[in-house]
Amino acid sequence: MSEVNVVGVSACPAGLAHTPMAAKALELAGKKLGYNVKIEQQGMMGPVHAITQEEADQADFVLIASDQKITDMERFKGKKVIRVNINTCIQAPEAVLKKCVSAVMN
Amino acid sequence: MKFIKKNVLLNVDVKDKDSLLKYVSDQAQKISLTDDPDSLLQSFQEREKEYSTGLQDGFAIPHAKSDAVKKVGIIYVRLSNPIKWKTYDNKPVTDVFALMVPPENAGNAHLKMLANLSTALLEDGFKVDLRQKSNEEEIAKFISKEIGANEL
Repeated sequence: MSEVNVVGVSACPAGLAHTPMAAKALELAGKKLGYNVKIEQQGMMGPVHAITQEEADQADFVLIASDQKITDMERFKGKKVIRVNINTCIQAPEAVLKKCVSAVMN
Repeated sequence: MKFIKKNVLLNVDVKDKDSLLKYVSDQAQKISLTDDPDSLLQSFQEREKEYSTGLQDGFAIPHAKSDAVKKVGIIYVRLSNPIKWKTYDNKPVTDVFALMVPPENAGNAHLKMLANLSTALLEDGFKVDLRQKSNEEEIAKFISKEIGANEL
């Protein structure tokens, strides 16, 4: 399989703890699996590690780790967007990525 | 934000999550993070109702974003007896980091420390090192360093 590029956004109700945790958990899992994963955090600090339009364009799919409203979704127009519960992303980030990749790329 | 030994509470004995949150809210008043512990407690409880803040390996991160919070703060509680809490691995909780923030103007530098702490809890090394430390001073220093609290 060629290179896998994943972008995404994490967000939680308070925007304090679970938002950065999910982003880091997914990025670490991506490293382990050999995927390029970048997750923007939409928390109390405003966007952290924002996904650029160019990064969005290169992505194979978009992973939204949240059940919240996400801002600037226009960046991802035309991309496959997968929403996953933020707690699932913290708890089992590798399984989440693998499942998304096999759903999108096969 | 300072994280010093009065933010560290060891050998705390509570019977359940509600009494723990009440204990934390009262302690927050003692160290001037709030003047209104009842309203702070309510905010912790409301957040737990949305979704449990239990993590895994015995850790939980209850948090309150509330007008009752005067400034960003963290209280670490180590329990002498595990309490029931909905967690990812279904294990009871022994170590609690209570995070408190005012709803506005919390300051990004302070929020970054809370983010640093939360992501540190994804690392086994952090949890192991923390549990090896057994006095308040030592724990406060370790956590401050880990989250960048001495940079301010």
